[in-house]
Amino acid sequence: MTTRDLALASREGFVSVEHVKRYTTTGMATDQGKTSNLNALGVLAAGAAKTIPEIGLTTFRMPYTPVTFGTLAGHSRGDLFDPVRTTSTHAWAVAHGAVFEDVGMWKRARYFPKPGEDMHAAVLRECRAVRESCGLFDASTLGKIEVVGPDAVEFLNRLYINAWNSLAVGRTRYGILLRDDGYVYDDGVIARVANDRFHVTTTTGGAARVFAMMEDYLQTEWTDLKVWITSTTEQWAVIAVQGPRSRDVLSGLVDGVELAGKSIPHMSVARGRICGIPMLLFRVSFSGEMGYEINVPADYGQSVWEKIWAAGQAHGITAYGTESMHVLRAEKGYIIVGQDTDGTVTPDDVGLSWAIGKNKEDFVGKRSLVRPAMLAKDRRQLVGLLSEPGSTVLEEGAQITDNSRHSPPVRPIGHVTSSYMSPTLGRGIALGLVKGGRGRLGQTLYVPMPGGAIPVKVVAPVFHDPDGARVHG
Amino acid sequence: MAESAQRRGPVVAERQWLRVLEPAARFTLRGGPDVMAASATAFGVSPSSAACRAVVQGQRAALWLGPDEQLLIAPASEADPLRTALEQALASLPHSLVEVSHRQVALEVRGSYVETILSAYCPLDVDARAFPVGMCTRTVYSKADILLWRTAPGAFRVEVWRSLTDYVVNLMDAVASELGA
Repeated sequence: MTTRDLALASREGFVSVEHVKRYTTTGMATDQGKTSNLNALGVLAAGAAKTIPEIGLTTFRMPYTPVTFGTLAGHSRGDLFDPVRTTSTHAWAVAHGAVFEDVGMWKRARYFPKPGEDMHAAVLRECRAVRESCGLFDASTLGKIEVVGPDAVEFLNRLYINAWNSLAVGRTRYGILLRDDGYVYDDGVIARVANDRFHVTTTTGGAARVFAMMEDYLQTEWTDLKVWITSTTEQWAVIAVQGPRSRDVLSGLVDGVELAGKSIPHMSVARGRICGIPMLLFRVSFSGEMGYEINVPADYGQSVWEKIWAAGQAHGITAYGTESMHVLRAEKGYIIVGQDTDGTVTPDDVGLSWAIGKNKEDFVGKRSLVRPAMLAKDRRQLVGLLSEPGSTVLEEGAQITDNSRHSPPVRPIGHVTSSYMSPTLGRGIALGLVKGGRGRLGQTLYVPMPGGAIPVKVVAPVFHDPDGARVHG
Repeated sequence: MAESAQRRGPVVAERQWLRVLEPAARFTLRGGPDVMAASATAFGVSPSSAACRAVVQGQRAALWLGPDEQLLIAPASEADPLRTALEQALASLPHSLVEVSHRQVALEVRGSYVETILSAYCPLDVDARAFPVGMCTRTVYSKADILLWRTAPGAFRVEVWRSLTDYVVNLMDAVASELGA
């Protein structure tokens, strides 16, 4: 609220001081005008060529005397302003020099610098370890929801775009959830742990809203279904062991699951024990390398982590954080909902129409996916971008144009969603959403920046191991 | 085989008005009245059909959290046999039994200031006339979801998701220190 707003209100014909108050909000807020009102009345009076007494005074309600922000804030400051959520391996990460980042209310280890390393150097080392030997990552913050009941499979069929009938017990599938407007809302690996029991994972940030959406549908739309949902996010500590040596690291610690051979193939799940503790073992990969995600009851998280760490020393095990996790997944073209999607993106836009259960009668968002605008050929589609020269790392959020002109009008045809220096390729890589992107492979586009337009080559969004052979070990 | 992993829950220093209770076995049981009735024999506690009431039998308790939901609490060592017994008893009935033993931490808040400490950030009326011994419900403590259960005239059991333990304890601490508790 500035004096310009008051002058504008005056020019627009607001005469009554009470109307001006409601229109501009002057005299509202915590001091009820005790500090601002005389100035505001002076401006109004000048505008109306009257005296302040002629303009009048606004009425005010409690508090009648100025109140400090501290009184209103109370305990809501510092660590008590918002919960700071930490995982079971937090103390270990602190002791090993982790630099943390906030993800929702969670503190997540972003990278683990060794003395003298900056983030770039640490991420380079961490990513190489995952690609060449073995990395250790805390994925506990992923949302987890146990969906149980005779209608569990029907419930997931109605909710997620994928077909779930064909998912066998002991197998997992990458699930995508839309809103009813057809846009991507969340994603995650879903495991069928029994005929009538699914272990659903969600994004870290989406855990609460996906749970609320499920409960909403159960209580209002699908009261016919015999299925119940329970949040198990905090029941489990999730330890990802990723990389070609991950099996060697775990083989001496795991009981009851045969890690060698084909008994636990990529995208499967098994029950067993690790260091004597019951675990749910996922053979899944968000890094593109063969790997596992070990779920153990949360109180055992740090101890199991430490034992894997000790066993992994002989195999070059390296703790990695969310920054390396992001780089590794971007090299594979795996999207992050909320980063590569923004609430206006359909499954097809991000190359995921293969996941849609084609024979399903319905699922949330299905009807919206066939509206004309959703089928338009010039929708923004996910592509890979290689900057020239390769040492350039594009700015995330930067616009993309089809010409190098630097003065307006320059119409954007897309934007950069993810961008990193890729340790595996030794150059900058990026993902972006570009109009009709999949029809532009091989084209050169431009990312206009203050220093000039950066040329980028449009490529398929999988930079590393495009055949996906490495996840099979 | 390597030595077994050690259990380690969130650490909270004991105060005069607060302590962390022993780890417990916890199960969320969902289903109709037939499920709740059938669980009674296997669990050894007849669950309440009245809203927001806990039934205690020895070391075990069943907490009414919803028309189709009970939280079953037992000593930690009983988790495995309990799961087996309950699944056997409920096999023919549509239901959901999910173990959540490690999901939450139990705090006991007690003493003459207990109602004031809770009221500071819980919107419910926790006076004994509105919230008697044996009453239990999900609610919030400021920005954290909690489960509140009055276990004695001067004591509540507060169950909080493990990552929110520090937040709830520190916030209660801030209130308690103003009270001189």
